[in-house]
Amino acid sequence: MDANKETTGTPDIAAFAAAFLKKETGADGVEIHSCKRLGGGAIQENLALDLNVTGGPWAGRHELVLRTDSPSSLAVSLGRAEEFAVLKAAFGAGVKVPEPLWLHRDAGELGKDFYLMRKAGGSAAARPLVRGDLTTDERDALLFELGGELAKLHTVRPPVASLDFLPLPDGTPAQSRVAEYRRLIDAIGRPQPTLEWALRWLELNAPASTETTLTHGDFRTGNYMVENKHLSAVLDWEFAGWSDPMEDLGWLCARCWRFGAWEHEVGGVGGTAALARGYASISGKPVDLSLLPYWEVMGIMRWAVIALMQAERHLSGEQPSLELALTGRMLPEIELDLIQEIQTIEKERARHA
Amino acid sequence: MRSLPTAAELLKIAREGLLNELLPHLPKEHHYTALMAANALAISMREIQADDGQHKAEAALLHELYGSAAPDEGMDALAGHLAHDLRAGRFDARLDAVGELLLAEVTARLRVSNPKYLKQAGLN
Repeated sequence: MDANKETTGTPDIAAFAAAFLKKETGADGVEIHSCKRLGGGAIQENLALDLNVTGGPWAGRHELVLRTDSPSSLAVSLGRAEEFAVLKAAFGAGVKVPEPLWLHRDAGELGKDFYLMRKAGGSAAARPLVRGDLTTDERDALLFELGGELAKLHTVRPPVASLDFLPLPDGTPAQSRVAEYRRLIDAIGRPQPTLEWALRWLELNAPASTETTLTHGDFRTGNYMVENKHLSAVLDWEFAGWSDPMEDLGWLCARCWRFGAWEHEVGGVGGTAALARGYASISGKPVDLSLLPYWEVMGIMRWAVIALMQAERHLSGEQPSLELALTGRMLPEIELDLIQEIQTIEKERARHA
Repeated sequence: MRSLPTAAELLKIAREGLLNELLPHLPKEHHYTALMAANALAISMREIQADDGQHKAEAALLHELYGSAAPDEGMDALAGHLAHDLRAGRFDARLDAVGELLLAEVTARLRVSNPKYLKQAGLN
């Protein structure tokens, strides 16, 4: 057997994808050299395909990623066909994403949709960015790039025909989120006084929204790729939607996504000044950072609800798992983040009153 | 008569065996699961040994918010009521004070589930 041939992924999908590609590209043949499962993604399965196309306009060697559903999925995330449409819209807006190439809409042949995209270089690992060797200047340069990518994404505004499956917020994006999180907590059926306290605060302090744009919904350290100290691709678009652009910034900066480096507000990597400069360099207007603390609290709330839902998969017996069980015991940490961050905002407000 | 060693002692020695004797022989891809198991044992150990801090924090919160109407069963019995009242805006006039009471209750739970996190947050 060829030493290059390594089929540690799912051979059925690889063979299916080869036949699919042959048809899509009008090739004479498609040979898969390797198929490896990529880490990350509790919801999606990502396979790295190294393949060779003979004949047709795509003739040559290609490194692609095939993204499909894994057995467990969250009800709040997009399906693969929808995610493909979002990825195309983001790519069209100039956001650094793995170029989306082909979508397979399943009609029973395989049992699930998938799409193929170019493989992006670099690594999405959070730890090297948070604890690693980046100098202050290198951190700032990376944050400037992150801000610019978000600003490009936020130029996409409704309506967009290819994204008509994304619901518009009911009321302002902030009010809409509060209602959504209450519904999700109610559906689980275990009362959460601390989360209710924070949700009431979020409701009473909801900003009057100025705009609604396409948002990534999971833009945080660990979901973007870095290659040679620079941003190479933004990944994981299954939570994209129409919302307040500040929600993406709040999630990126929320204390729960700093990987322990709380002193570095933006994803554990650095300060907000460079991020805001990068954003403004594309949007042409300054970021109103006074809105950021509110949206950081909203981000922590989002994480609390997701953690509850994950823990419930274990508690309900649907998917017994040590990791999901321990996620349930992480809730007090998230509750503490919520209370302390709200208290900080209130103290700051009282100081200026 | 109490059986010895106690449950807490059993959890402690099981955790040490897992971390000191098994972990070094496990392939890297299984380290995460082993560390999670060690964490689960540590949480269980702390929960068994916990003082009545959480009970006190819950009692203080319920007494402050509901006075003599507060039931003796503690937070579990009243959590739904409190959640509903908060959502309905019944405590809007003193959200700050309720936040302080909730902070004490959350702190007590964190002492069991992750005391290191409390330290990082400047609480003990």
